[in-house]
Amino acid sequence: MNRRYFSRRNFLAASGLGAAMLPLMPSFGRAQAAAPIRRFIAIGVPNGHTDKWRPLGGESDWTINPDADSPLKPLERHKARVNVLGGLWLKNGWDTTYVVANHDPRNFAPGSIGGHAAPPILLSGAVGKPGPAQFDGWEMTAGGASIDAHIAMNQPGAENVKFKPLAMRATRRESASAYISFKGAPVTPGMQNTSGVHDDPVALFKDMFGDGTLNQDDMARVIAGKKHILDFASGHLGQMRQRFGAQNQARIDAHLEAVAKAAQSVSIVASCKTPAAPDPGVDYLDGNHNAQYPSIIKAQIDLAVVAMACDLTRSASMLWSDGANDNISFRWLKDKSAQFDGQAPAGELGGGQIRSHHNLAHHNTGELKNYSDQWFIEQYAYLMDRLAEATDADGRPLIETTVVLYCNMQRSGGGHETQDLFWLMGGNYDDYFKTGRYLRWPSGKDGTSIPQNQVLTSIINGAGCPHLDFFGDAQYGGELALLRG
Amino acid sequence: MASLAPRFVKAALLGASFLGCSAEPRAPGGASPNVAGATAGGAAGSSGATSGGVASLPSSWQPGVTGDPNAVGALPLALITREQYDNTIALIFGQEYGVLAAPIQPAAVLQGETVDQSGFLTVGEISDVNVLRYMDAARAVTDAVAGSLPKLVGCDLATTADDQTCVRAFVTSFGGLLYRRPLEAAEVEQHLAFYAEEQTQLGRTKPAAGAQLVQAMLQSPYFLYRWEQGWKVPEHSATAARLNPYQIASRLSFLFWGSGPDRALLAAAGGGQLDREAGIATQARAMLKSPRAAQALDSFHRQWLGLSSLESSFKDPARFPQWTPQLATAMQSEIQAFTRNVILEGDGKLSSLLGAPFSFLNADLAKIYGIGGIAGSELRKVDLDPSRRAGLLTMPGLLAAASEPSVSNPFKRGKLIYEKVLCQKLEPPPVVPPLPTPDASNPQPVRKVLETMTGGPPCNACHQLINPFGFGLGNFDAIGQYSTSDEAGFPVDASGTLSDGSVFTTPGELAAALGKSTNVRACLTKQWFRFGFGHAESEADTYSLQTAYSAFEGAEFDLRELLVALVTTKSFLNRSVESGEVLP
Repeated sequence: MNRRYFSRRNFLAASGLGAAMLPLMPSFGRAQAAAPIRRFIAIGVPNGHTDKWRPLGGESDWTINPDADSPLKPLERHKARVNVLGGLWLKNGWDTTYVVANHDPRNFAPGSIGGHAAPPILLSGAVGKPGPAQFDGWEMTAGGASIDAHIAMNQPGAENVKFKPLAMRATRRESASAYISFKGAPVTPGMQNTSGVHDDPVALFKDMFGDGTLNQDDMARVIAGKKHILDFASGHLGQMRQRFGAQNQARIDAHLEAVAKAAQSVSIVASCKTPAAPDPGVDYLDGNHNAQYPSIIKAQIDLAVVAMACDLTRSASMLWSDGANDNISFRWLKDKSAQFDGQAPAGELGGGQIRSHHNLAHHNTGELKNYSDQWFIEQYAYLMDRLAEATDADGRPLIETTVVLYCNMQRSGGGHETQDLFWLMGGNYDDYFKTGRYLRWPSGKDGTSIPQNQVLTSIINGAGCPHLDFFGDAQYGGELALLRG
Repeated sequence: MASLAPRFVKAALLGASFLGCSAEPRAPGGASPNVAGATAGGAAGSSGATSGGVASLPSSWQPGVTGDPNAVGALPLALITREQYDNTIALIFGQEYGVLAAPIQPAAVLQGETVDQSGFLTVGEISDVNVLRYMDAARAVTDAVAGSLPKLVGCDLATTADDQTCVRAFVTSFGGLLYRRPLEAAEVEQHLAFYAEEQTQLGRTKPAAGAQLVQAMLQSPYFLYRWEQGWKVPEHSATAARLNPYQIASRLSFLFWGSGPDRALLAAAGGGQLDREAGIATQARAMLKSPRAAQALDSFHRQWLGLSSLESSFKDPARFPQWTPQLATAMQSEIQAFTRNVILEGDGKLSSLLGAPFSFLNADLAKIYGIGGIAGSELRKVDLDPSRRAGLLTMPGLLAAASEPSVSNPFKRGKLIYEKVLCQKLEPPPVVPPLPTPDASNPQPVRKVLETMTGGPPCNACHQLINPFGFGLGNFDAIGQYSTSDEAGFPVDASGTLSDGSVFTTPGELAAALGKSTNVRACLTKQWFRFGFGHAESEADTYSLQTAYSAFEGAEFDLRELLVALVTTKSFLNRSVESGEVLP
């Protein structure tokens, strides 16, 4: 017998848990849900797009720029499954109370709240709340749950998956602008209420599969031991709570909820075969994440796909890597240009400097920025490849049941604008959405642009969540009917 | 050298985008700094403080504003940071129990740390992933001490006949250190019950149950939170409560040592030595003399001046082949040696911190300074030319951290001084206008190019506030080497005038002038408050800030006396009572 495999029945017997615990053990078998499973992945990236990023042609006859440095080039093989969405607007950021109250709007063009500060409002849809300083000094945070958390917490049939959502980021930067996944508005005024976010692939792998060597009895004991400790911690939290007023009680309640969620999570063991672990030779905890960056992105993509295939999650997000990407160079792209290697001849523009994504966004809207963005699109295409290869418990390729949203926070790197954004929406939920199109809206400076909420609302409804008339804030409209054809 | 001009300007333009600018800086407090650029206008004060999560009015304090002596601010609940976690583990398991031979970093896996509005690290709202990582960190600790469990617990649980007595004594002793207060009798029983359940319900052996108990205690909120509200308060009104001595001990130890208290400090709390301000001041002075004070000082300066990124900074190897991780570490060590020397061994004066013309160099650092005759890796005290180098702000580590990979960045340096050393605030950036392409055929002095670029609206609103400081450090390249030529090959003009009338012509003069500035003295008072109290100042802290500042001033701006004064203020020893709170 393969000791790494656990049957639902054997596990329950070994762990001493009875049928009453069945609802907590969903990873061993899916309930016969009437609706098909729907999955969702959001990816956040900063620093805008260049002219070559934009498709050529119209809605149905669009083509990808054919040049070698065309950012969308890697997308060619998935073109029929993707919609390019051009002209979105993070209007919720502009309407954030803090911004309106503290700044003279004459200084800020509509939609111009700093794009590097946009991570909290990128996927949340709600008007922001006062919070910690984001990049460039904007003091705000998400005013509501992000779409990945909303889907994870509201999707019927997904109540008891392990990661709700599976939120990841490719940075360990100590910055408020390094999170796009939020449980909701702040519990404690001024603090960020982020989802549990994984930044270490090794730790995440262990969360998914343990160390892969335990037999059923030992695994049951480990789980019971962890739960015993969490009960102990909960008891202390309860004692503390009695002494507090409302505000600190709310914080303790959030902690208790986190402990309960962790306790549920540790009880769910993957029922699928343990895949290869992330490369142990990579220093995933390195603070700079420069040389390791490609390895971290790949490891997180692989783990997201595994988690989807094993039904450990149905909603995930990845931030690559924060609102500015100052730390990330592209020295691994030196075959595209010697300047990526940081050793270009002196006297050349940017010669000898690290070519961080942020630097490029400001100073090189040509070849270097294009190639760097092409690298990001390659990662997106790789994720789509993996979703096409991997199958779920029903044997269906994941790509048929998954929508992958690629969300840039800015229009251009230099301008920091948060309107006229270009996003990608891959996957169509069994043709629920009509893909293979280039949808372009006006630039947004005249207020005619499309708030991103409309895209998010459409996906939430497409993902089988209880129908929403709007996501985040009613003023930004509801579904974007155009997405369905 | 002229060929570097376009590259420099490009890098500086990048700096402009970091800074942003706006036409009309706000001045909510109405206060204008008296130290800023020659053209300094009204600048923003502190924005609405959230005090680590507790919304409150921003402080309007500046020297001379006395505030309400009866006001008491909130003391927000705070989770210990990674550094505090590791330091506390080292103290308890290493020094108190002797079961950890060398420090470990179990907190490396912890998540959720961000720089909050105070400018210092804080841990945000907790999530399920935090909980799992706390589990991993606790496991790492117990793994590290697994072979020493009998020594830790005080008996061999595998063989002892009376494990109950042994575990009870351990819970009382170890729990006191971990939770930073004596445990109540019922709590001790609760821990013993956990130990018993591990055996009866989970089938563990006694030693395994003991190890699980240690893990559980490391995951208790009593350890993870700096719960300085506490169980008991010695005295309180309807709106304010005084902290009990154990809570004061905890606040003192996190401020002065960056860790929880040791057994002696807890004993002092239990012995009544922290009941009154005089005793607290005596204890504070003693704690400053402890070797542990260095780790808190290092942490303060690293966080205050944003030096954490120094070791991972990338420098262009074509221009700076001498830049290595070892050099970056040496630069960090230099700053640590200097700040420790000034504050712990020297005169403790702010004017020395920002103006003393000496440092601690090894062979690698001496090359950066252009000083010969120094060999080896050991740091030694070296006198410096006071016109070129004076104190912390002219040290290569700080200058390199606030630079680009190839070139210096006057905007970054100016912003650092304006925000961190003067405690002023810049507006978030609006849409950055299209940036001009430098004319490579007509090289100009760096300062002139940047002044022209930022001299008009909307950029000048902010850049007039920050540029003078950056230009004043214009002699230093991207790794902090001194030169009389700028990076375009023109003579450096490092002159300027502060708005208090001080004129400077060299980096040394600028640093020395800042060291004597009222605004810098006030800012250091705020920065140590924020670091030591764990939150940004609010209006309720005004009286305490002024009290501490007065003592600071009375001691001729000796930073040690500032710290002692801060920990005897009303804000340090009292807190507001939260609505709905149940007080004993």
